[in-house]
Amino acid sequence: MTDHNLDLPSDTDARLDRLLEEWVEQRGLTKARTEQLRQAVLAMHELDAATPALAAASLDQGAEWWSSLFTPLLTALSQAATTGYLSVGTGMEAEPDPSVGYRAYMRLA
Amino acid sequence: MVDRTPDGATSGLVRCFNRIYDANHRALHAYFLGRTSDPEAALDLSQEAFLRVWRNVSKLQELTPQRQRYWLYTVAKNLVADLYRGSASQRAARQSVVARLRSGGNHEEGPQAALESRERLEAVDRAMNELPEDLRTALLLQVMGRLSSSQIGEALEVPAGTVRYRIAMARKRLAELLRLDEHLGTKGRT
Repeated sequence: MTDHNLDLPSDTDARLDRLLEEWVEQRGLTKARTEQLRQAVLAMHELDAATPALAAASLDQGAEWWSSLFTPLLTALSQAATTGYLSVGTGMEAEPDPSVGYRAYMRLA
Repeated sequence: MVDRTPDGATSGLVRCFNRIYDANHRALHAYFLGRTSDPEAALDLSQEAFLRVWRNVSKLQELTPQRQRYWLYTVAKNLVADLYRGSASQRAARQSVVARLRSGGNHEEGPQAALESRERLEAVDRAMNELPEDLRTALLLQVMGRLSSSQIGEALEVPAGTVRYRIAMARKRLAELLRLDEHLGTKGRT
């Protein structure tokens, strides 16, 4: 060890060195902890990198999902307009004309 | 964020990160331990600092090792400053990682030896806590971080002579606190 003071007697100096060595061994980063820390950082970064990608992916899926939800409804509404729904308003409380199947109504319910 | 394509570019960045990590992790941990005197906070902050390295690794790979170290200690200083401003929820979110890292301790000695060792270590813990922060940080960067006085001086932005003085003072004070030499004429507080 270098750069420390000249005031301590050599035996005190040596005892302090031994104590510090033991303390550093226990309180410092072991090899195992060093690797755990490295892996933790890399894993956290993987998580950071994955999050925006997942968000983007879910948006893409969301558009498809909304499309799959509304396309049949719009088709049904279009059919209703041409074939005789009495009313298709908020809450879908209107009864369908008997001549129109229950398909769109059931999907919403 | 690291560009993950092509694979070769990413592995190059990982290699760069590993070089920076290997060169600095011990000293950086010592720095945080010196500044905070809190082993959990030191681990926590080390992780945070290296996460920032990883996020900026594509820029850092263009710097010299000396400039990388300067960048790292600038980040480290800011993290210490931020530590006490952090919210409880942010600290709690990191607890599991810190706990996992701390559980890596290895004590294979017998019960009596372990007890004696623990008492010695706790005495040093207390003595370290008694040291002024600037003395403790300089000492830990030397004994734990294995940096030279000039490297410590660069990290702390003080002259190497000041570093040597701080280390000498820290050792003298520790010897007093641990009653390593009765001739030092101290009361001892361990």
